[in-house]
Amino acid sequence: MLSWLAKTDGVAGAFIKANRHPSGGNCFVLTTPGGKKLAGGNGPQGAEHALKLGFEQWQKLSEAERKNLPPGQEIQPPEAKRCAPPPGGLIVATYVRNLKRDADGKLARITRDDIKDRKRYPDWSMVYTEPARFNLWLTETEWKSLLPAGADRGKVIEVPEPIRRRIFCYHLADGTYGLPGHWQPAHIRSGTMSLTVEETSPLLRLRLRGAALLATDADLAKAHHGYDVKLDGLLEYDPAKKRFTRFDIAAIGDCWGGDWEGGRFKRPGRAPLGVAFQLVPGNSAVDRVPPLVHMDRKQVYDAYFR
Amino acid sequence: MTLGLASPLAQARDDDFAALQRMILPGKGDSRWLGVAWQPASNIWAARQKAAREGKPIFLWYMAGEPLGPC
Repeated sequence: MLSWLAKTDGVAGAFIKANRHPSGGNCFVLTTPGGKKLAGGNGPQGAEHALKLGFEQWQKLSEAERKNLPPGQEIQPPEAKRCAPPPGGLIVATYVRNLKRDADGKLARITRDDIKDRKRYPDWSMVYTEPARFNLWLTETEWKSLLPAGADRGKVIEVPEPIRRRIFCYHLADGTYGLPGHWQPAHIRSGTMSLTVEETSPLLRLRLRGAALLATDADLAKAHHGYDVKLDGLLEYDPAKKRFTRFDIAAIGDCWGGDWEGGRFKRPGRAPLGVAFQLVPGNSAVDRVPPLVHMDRKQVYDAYFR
Repeated sequence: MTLGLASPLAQARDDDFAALQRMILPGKGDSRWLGVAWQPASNIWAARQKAAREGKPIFLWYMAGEPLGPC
């Protein structure tokens, strides 16, 4: 955990300090609001252990002990502002999922049985067959830039470069194995994204089309990671509500390279990877998770919104 | 769930597009962690107050283990 996050615990980090758990990947702790550590665990069974043992301890507490909360004070460090969605902005959830082609060449989800093939799915666990969830943020100025002036049916506009680059670099990266890497702008070997006006009333309906070739080397044979992807989407803007009411995009293409920490879990050759984008209300903690792990860092924040 | 698009999207119709999106989105039994009432890590004090009001314990999930370390 980042030290600035710990300082938001109301007592300058004392609550978190009292609820430490030995390192070892992901760690889990069950605690009381007052800070009495009930149980902890880490690793694959860590959550189950912390919950099972922790709730046994919880049951032994009186109601007063459960609700006890010593005085504290809310502190919002400057980093917290960079981890909050932009005011008036748009939050679009993205789901990244590994797919397969079945015997008929049709796209399909990967099953528990599939990953028993350890050559095709090296060291995979079931979680890699599920979609990984991230968020795309657009500022109010940015989402308004998607609205064409004088929208006539059939009109085509290019998606502004900052939005296009952000989607390509940060949101078409394979994050299914854990922390995703990101493409550098130089890794965009080709990329297009446009909007076509399909309807103008009662809703403004825009069809998004795009394609990108993302690769760590211009010579694809040398590129240790790559994604050759096409995008299709439907966006709807309600003039009466003055907001987007639909922001559905599906991206599908062939990906290679495995994870971003040495290429673990790499499937042979190229394999299909899908990314689905969907508008979310932004009122849950999951919806408000920053797009990048280190969004609290100014240089990372600035690069994202460049 | 399968979708007959070996090279999809270039000629995708609306129903193809919708089917592809459904295939990627969480299905039954996927991503069950999304059903947990997580609270923002950037305001732990607010989470503690909410838990105390509701008489519930707090489940902390740390990435990389050391709560006061760099990450």
